[in-house]
Amino acid sequence: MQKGFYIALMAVILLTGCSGQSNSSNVKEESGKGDKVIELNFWRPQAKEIEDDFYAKRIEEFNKKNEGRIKVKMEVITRGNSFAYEDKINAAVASHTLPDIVAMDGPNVANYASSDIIIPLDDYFTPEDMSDFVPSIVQQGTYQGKFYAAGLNESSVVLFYNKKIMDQYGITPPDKMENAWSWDQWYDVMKKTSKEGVFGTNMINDKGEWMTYAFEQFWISNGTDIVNKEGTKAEGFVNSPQGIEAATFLKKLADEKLFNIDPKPTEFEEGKAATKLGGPWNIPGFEDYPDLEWGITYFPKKAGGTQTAPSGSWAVGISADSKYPKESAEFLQWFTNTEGSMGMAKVISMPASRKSAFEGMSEYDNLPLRVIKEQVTTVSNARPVTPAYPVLTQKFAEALTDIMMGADVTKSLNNVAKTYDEEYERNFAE
Amino acid sequence: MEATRVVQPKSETVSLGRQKRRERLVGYSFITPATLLLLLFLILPFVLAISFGFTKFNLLRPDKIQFIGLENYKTLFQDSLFYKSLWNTLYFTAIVVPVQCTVALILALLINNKLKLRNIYRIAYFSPVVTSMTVISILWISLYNPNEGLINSALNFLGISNQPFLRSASQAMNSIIFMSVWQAAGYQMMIFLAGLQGIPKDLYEASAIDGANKFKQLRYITIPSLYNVIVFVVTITTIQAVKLFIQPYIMTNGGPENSTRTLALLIYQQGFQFRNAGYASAISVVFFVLVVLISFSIKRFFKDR
Repeated sequence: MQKGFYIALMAVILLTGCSGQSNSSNVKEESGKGDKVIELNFWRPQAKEIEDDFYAKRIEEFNKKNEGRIKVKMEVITRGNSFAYEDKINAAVASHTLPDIVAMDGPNVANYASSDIIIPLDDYFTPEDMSDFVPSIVQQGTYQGKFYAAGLNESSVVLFYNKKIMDQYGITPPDKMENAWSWDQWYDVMKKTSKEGVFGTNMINDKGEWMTYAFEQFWISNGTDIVNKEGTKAEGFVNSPQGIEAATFLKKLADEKLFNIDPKPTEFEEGKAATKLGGPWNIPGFEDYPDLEWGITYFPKKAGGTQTAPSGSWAVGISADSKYPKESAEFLQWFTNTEGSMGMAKVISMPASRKSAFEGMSEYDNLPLRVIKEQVTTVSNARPVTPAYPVLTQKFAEALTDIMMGADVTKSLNNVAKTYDEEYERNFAE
Repeated sequence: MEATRVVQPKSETVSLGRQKRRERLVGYSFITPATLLLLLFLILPFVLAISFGFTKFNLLRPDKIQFIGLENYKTLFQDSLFYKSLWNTLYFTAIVVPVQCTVALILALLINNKLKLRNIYRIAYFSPVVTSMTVISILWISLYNPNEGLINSALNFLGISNQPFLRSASQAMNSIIFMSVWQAAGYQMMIFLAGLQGIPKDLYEASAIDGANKFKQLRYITIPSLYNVIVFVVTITTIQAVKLFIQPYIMTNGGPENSTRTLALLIYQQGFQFRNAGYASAISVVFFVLVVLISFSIKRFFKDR
């Protein structure tokens, strides 16, 4: 008796514990009319409060517009450490409990698309939409010729400089893209300014995704990339002669201690770095340092090479589990329209993802923000689009960090190429 | 007559049997929750890990699990990173276990004396243990900062130039070892302290009368009396050391040049970051065998004495 009772009890506990709620679409019977309201779920990672509020406000607006027809419910998921959100998606994939609409970091788009977790959106976005998105947004959202995820905002990396330090040494940073500093000119600036507790630059945001996000551009500027265009091969790209030259340049900066490998987050703000590779997200923090006089110039390029800058940001797609792809797409299209892109840019000072949004914001027509607009709309490059991106970015970041700490350039880059190609061969080759 | 004689003992057996059965049922019902939970969260995942070890399993494609036999193990034994991680794990364990246990014992002996402010020392030694390892790791990153860290400032004061610590392949693992010993020794110290206080005072008094000095007392009374405590401490320290994960994950991410990549970190990276759940399962099976082997050899080592 008792045994049976306990087993039954445990079974009940386990079953209720495991089943949980399905996150996919629900259809609710509207009591009065008998019309069906389609309820869509939307997951995104937690961000700064003003960004979260902006999302909530936009969704409320959409729900009001579509009252009695579609209702979007947003679930904000904490990121904890940087991968908690991705872990949650992985788990939801395994149990088929993905929401209808799901936000993802740009470089993950290909990974999710190749695993059939998200669906193509080509049928839902008009050609006008597609040409209005800045090119890098289309690039990061496209996998094997299909468009999978749209972004609200872009990102960019620029070179901030400390005006007082520049004046002290009589340096005038360029304010036109064609005059952008070359690596060697930037090196000379660092060499001049790096003394008495001041570093020539501050360029280590973190030793993870940042390394790929910011420094892949050195490969691109030198006429190569870290993988081929199709994303199938790293050998001969990441470790090409041009790639080795790019890494050797970065190693030289490290060897001559022109930057701090473990910088304080506010090194530049405190006047302890003459320049800083950073993004628009840094600007609000500068305001806490009234003594800091800062300016913006372009991402340094290889002399005679390509002018380029990093890009990529969080994008939103529709899960393959969704029962209402059409309604989800309707929401997505509205959500990422000019108004949304502009509103977001105003709230978090990240550049907009649509060209039309920039037109409505005059602050981007003048220095310093003009530099960001120019980079985003003309020379930005998204990170490689490949289903094996997690391996690529981890291994590349590890290798580059090692190189900056003194490891052999060729050996480290060869290892990235070998690991990536083996991984691709094993898991993704057709 | 014949019948009653047979029935009598039979009914006794029946009631006895019923009693026993009831007791057994009560027993089972007590262990049921624990057994079920163990089955669900320990045995089942373990069996799954073994079976996933024979498959190609992308974490994002649970619908496309592919049986590939011993392929993962073949890759594994040709993977130089696996050997490097194995070596790092063994190196860390081989240094940390003796050093940490000795430090803990010395600390315990020190604060077992009737010092003034004894409780303050106890709190000082024990407080790192109750602090989260993640917090401590972040704190020590700035202590170890190669340019402006506190430790380098102290070294400069002594006339030694800046050391790279975590940012050099030759010093990173030793830096993690030093910090790990500092963090965890307080825990073993508390266990040793409890053991020390269980040693009868008269043993020391008797030996003092016989002319034993402090060192001889330590050698012939304290350490033999602590034997069981030592076995326990060495075993848990070893198991903890083999699982080294948080410190390299936070402080170095396995670098530089994989000098701090441990097996636990390798499993995490393969399984969760690269999403190769099959390959990661194969590594964890090997890892499990390793932990069992180490535990057995510790047991064997102490049994032989």
